[in-house]
Amino acid sequence: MLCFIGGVALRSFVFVGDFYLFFGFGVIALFLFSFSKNPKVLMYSAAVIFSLAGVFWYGALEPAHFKLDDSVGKKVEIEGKVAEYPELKNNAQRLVIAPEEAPRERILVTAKRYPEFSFGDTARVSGALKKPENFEKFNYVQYLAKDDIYFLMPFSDATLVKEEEGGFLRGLYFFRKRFERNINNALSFPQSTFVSGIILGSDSDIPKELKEAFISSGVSHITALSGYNITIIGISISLILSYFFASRSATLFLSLGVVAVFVLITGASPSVTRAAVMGAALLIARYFGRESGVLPVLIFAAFIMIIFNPKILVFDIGFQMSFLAVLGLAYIAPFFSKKLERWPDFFKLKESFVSAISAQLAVLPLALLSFNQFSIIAPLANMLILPFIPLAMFFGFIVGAAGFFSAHLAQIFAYPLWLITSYQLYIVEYLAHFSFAAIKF
Amino acid sequence: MRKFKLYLTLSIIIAAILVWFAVFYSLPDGRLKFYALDVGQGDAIFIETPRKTQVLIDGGPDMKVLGQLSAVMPFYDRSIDLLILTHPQEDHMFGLVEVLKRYKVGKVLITGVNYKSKTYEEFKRIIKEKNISVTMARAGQRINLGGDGIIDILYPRENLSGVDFPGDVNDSSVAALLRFGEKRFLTMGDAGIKEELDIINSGQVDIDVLKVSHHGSRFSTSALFLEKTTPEIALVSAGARNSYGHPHKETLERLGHIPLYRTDTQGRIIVTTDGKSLIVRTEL
Repeated sequence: MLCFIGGVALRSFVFVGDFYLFFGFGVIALFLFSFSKNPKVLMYSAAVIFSLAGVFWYGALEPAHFKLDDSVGKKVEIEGKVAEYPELKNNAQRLVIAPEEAPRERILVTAKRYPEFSFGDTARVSGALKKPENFEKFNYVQYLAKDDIYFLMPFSDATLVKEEEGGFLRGLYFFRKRFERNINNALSFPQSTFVSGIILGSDSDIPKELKEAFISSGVSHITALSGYNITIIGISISLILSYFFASRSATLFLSLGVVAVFVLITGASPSVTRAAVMGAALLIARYFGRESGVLPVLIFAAFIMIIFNPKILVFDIGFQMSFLAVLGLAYIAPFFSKKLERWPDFFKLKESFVSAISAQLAVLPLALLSFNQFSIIAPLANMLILPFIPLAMFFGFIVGAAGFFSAHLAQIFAYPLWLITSYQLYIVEYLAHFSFAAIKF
Repeated sequence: MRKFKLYLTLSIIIAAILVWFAVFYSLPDGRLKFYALDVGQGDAIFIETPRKTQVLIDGGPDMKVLGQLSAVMPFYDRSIDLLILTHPQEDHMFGLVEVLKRYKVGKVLITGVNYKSKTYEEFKRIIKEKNISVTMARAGQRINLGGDGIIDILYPRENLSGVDFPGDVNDSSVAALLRFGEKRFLTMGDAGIKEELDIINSGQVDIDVLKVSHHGSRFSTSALFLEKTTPEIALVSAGARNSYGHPHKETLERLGHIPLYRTDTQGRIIVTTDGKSLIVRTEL
């Protein structure tokens, strides 16, 4: 499995063009594997075979050419379904359109913000079709390709052709939209977007200045990266639940249930589902008291996910972060718990603090790499903000749910939420404004 | 159990502090506040009377208005009594769509002039969806804000609802004169010289605070208009380093010695009055 993953990684980093060379290696390895009796040789040749399988699997799933290739650079009009949740960015909305004639060749369309499209709508978009290009330090092409996006259409004009009727996923989408609106109505801006970010994983409408402040104070992972935060949610929820329930199995099942609900309201997108599976693996391992045995399980889960989509291994930061976060929770957290054994534990605050910090530490190197800056102030910022994240999530969830019944009810719960999130945002902005907060490279 | 009591006491103390904060805040202090919000290249004016009646005139070109409103309104306040759209151009209207979605808006005042834009359609759709009462602006209307605040509509002369406005849509902007005690504030969206002439010809308009039209464009704020209206101070709402070069050099020259406050260099502007004198503060 490891070799297969290694092969996928190899293929992700370098374009393996020399087919015959690899083919030759493969034949020799296969030959040795079949006839040799020496266990060492057997093992190595098996490793090579699996690595090559990874390399080929990656290549096999990547389309060689596209129907839409002919239209690149031209002004075109395309009809297709809105295939993912629309992303709102100040004056614009970003839609992932699956064209009717070629649904696997998705287009990332930027259109005016209004009218807002819904997931599942059929839209007609017109504009100039482009191919994505890589940035200096960022493989944008593959980053998009992992979600089957191969084309861009900036500055397009979008009109609604027809609305999708019914459907479970679409119902889910509207539920989430209502949920988000309940929060927006009860809580002032930008606190409301922050709450949507931490509990729904949506980073729509977070002002640019605030986003930059998050990055330079080193806490952007709380909202920015899809999936990763759900791992933390699962752990926090199980901690809170264990405070109320004596039975450990009740806690386990309830936490798994809550994680499942979260997956659903965030739209059950692949990245969130992947993160949830990894989080769930840890919860179950904890239940059986075999926390340290979670690594093989995790690798197996990753292996299955990579078979389905080989591109996530290298190009999905959310996937990598979830993986590391779970490792952090399983292997770093016990260390901290031991060190802080004598500290008093109010309402499991200490434990949630420990989990947050250990998950943090585990993903830190990756976060540094992906944002191209090193936040010196990050440990301080995280220490001040993270312990209150579960509380903010808890109230955010209540506000969103209460909004379905009464706006006034939601507002009452929004007061403590306002206090918590205002404190968090104040810390973020205060710490980010120091000139030495972050080193950019 | 002891722990539980501790948490309970702590929560009650925090709740008490918040409630008292709210109570003190909502006590009338006899002052009216007039804010030129910092929304970049666009307009957004927020008015709060001593009895906390709130009016928002225009909403700027993007989402910035939401953050600005959070800064000038108390955290528990999720309603605005009156919303005025001077004219349906993006830099005045865009932010209002989200305001309409997120706040409980009492009434909306618009000209209803025809204008082709998707944002305008969304604006009207939300008003309809939330069933908010709409008034078509017309000169002669008077809106009583309670607590001595009064808004008089000076322009447009006719009901423009469903009308294709002949000429520049800027000249269809609602002109609103706010009166509190002896002090008068005039805002008129992006009105050009033509609309200004119409206003000064229709009667004597002596004002104290002028929200300079059209971000300080040179086609607004004529010397004659300034001579007739004699503002004590002037406010300009424009974006820092905007591509239009607003406010224009010629306009600044015409404004001459009138003390000028600008959102592009000074951020949000707050004019407070007890009806007799003006106090101006700026964010930066």
